[in-house]
Amino acid sequence: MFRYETCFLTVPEITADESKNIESQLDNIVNELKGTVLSYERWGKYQLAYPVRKNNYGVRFLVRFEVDKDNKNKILDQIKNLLAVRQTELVMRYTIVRLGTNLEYIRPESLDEMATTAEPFFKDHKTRNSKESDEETHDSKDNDTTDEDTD
Amino acid sequence: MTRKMKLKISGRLLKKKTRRNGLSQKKHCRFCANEQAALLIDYKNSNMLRSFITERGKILPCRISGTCSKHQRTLSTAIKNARIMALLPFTAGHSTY
Repeated sequence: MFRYETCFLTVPEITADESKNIESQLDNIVNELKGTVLSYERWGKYQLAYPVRKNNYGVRFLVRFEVDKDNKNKILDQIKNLLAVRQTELVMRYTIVRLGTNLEYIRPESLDEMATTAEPFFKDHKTRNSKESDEETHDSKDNDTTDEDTD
Repeated sequence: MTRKMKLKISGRLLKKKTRRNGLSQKKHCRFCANEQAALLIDYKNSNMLRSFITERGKILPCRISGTCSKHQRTLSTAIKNARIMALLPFTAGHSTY
């Protein structure tokens, strides 16, 4: 058995139905030739390092599957055909990589995740800054008044 | 017989190096020291790979980053794969940030 993974980058306007359609098509290809799909993940929306097809953003997916030695080439050819030819309007880039024994991996943060982590941070700092600035203004006013008194 | 060592580093870089370190120190491959880190060399792990490219997007040579030739090979293929998937830039000119 060989383990493979395909990572593909799609257009940012992809809908849930379209992504499900791709998933079912991949499932069919792999299951027909006695393989198994290990995982199908949607990473989320990402800002790209360079514009691809005039898009600055894209949605990334990662699919992992197991294949027999005999059907390996057929499955890989059919997946290439699906992503590069039949779904060309949606899929902008794809890679197929053979996996080792290690299945753990680290991926960069998507824009959706970054938004959730950044919000509470900014909320806290806004409140603190506003309080401090208010206090400072009050202090300065007090000081001004005392100066005038001494004069 | 004493053979003169061939210097592959350009004169400008050598001067820079000596200015910073005083004497030249031997660099150690960070992936050889930690096997767990070596397993994480992957095209998907773009945040880690970002530390091995220059501001212009070029791959850092091993004589500057200190990685051994074995890990430099895996690193460079990972960076090239990440570039194809638009995780890392080819050059600085096309950035969308």
